Amino acid sequence: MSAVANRRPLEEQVTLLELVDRVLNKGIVLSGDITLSVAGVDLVYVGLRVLLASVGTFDRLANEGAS
Amino acid sequence: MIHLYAFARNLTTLPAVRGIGGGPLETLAVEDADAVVSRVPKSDVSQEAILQHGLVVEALVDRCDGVVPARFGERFADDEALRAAVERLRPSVGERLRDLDGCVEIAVRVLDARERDSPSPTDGRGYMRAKLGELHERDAVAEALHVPLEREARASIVTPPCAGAVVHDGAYLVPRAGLGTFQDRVDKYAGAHPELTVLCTGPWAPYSFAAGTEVAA
Repeated sequence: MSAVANRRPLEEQVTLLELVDRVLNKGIVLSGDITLSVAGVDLVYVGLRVLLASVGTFDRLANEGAS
Repeated sequence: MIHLYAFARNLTTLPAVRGIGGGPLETLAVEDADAVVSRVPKSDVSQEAILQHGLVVEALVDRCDGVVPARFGERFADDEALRAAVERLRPSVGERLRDLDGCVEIAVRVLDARERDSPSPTDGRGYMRAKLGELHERDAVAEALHVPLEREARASIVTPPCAGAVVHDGAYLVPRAGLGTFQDRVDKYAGAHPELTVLCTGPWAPYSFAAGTEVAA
């Protein structure tokens, strides 16, 4: 088990990931006009990067947590 | 353009937090709730804007009886455009707020680093054996962790893990009064499984259940 001092950054990283995941991928969607679909194009791009980062980051966090 | 952060029921006062780009928060009465919005000059999808959206939503949680968070990127030309979109919503904002009343969201992920150490199987039989091992592990987590947590929650959503070390990815809608018991259940599981990393975050505004618990369940 890692030292207690190492746990805080892990928790902060996880909290940030969970927040970004929620803000971008969850929540109520009203949609339906042109302004939004313009924003949507950008969001797909941003969201995809975050998703890819998330998968890799969780793998890394798992290894850190177990070491 | 106006940016929508969330709908709130019985909002006492607006938090001192600024909106994206520094503009003040405003409320707009819709149905029997308040839409919390701010004026933004243009579409801003920076990391700062994303975090600011999250900050505003979390600041609302303790100042009202219920919050339905909006996904980042809900922007409208004017008040009328937002009102028209709200009128089209089914279930209505009011119904969703009632579903979420008094509840917060807790995220629970379980990671297993051990899988990463095993060499990737090169033949069909090895691949299938590895896949079966993963499935069995997920079933075990579901039985020992998800079932007890589900009992403490009004609703839950389990997302099938897409890749990597994640063996459980769950969101739970938990009544505030039940948070202590819920946390105890998570701690008990984590204590019994030192080989796994259990990541529990929250309480969050109920993002994952904003579609209404009927849809979510």
